[in-house]
Amino acid sequence: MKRVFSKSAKMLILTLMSILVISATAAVYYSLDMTSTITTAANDVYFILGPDNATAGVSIFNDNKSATLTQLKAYPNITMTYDDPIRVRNNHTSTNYSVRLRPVSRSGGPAYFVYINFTLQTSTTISLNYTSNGSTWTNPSSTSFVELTANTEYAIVVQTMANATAPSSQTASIEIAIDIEQ
Amino acid sequence: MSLLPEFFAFLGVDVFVAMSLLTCLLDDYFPKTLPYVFQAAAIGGYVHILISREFLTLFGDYMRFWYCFLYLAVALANVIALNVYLAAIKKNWTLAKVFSGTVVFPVLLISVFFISNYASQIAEFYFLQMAMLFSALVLGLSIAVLLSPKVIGKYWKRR
Repeated sequence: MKRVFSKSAKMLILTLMSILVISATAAVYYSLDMTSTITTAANDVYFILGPDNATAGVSIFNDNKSATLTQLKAYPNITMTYDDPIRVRNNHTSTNYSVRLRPVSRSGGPAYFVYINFTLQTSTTISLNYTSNGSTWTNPSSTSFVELTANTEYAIVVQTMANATAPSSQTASIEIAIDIEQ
Repeated sequence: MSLLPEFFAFLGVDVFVAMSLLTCLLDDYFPKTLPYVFQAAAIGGYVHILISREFLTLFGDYMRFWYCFLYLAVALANVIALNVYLAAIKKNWTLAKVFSGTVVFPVLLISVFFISNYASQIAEFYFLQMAMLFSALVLGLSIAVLLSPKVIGKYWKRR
């Protein structure tokens, strides 16, 4: 029987087809390797009310992920301490999480305040301390990460002090965030 | 980087493609249509991975592993079948021995290596240690036979 194609021509065709098939398969495998599956999960770290929540006017919302403290007072030349208005809880039964405090925004005049301080009472305490010299605020930078032990809750202590000459009803608004590292 | 179950299908495609080129090269010993059959099987593997990607969320890891492993097993069975064909049908023992040493054994070894690698992601699997122990045993026996080749003759006579 007469050969239609020579052996080298058949080899060439098969080699080209092989390159095509392997390249296409490798491309699909690569795209498969880049596929990620993301599943939603309940948050393990969240806010809960502390015993002093009524004094500080604490409201917790957004599935315990956000909170406002609307009744905090700052008195002239007196350090006002709210020992346990709100707590951060790690609700996981076995996993420890690392968290830090991060300043987000601030408004209100610096003329009437001396400092406003937020401290998370973990074994190594971390604080965000907003201080004022009477004309400008000094914003703190983010704290270092500290560990929240599983199934444990930690108080956030708030300390305030107003300027000696501060009149009543002056307000400052501070937003902070808690970053969780997993 | 961890292996995905589809890697075995990818390996199967490579085996089919290699077999296609090899049977084309040795076309005096194999049927003329065989290279094209292997090419078609390789394209089938490509479609296999493509479908696996499209239904990724539907199929679990367990199922994905088994259908990809099955494809690789079919490819390996074809390699072994070629070796058997050379030995049993063509009665070409020399070529069959060369084929088993240069193609069948390396392909099987590479496949076992990747399967053990994948298995070790799931559970402890001591393939490397076992392979080294086996190699040491073979090396020891080979040295013993090399130093005194009459030992084998004596052993067979005794039996």
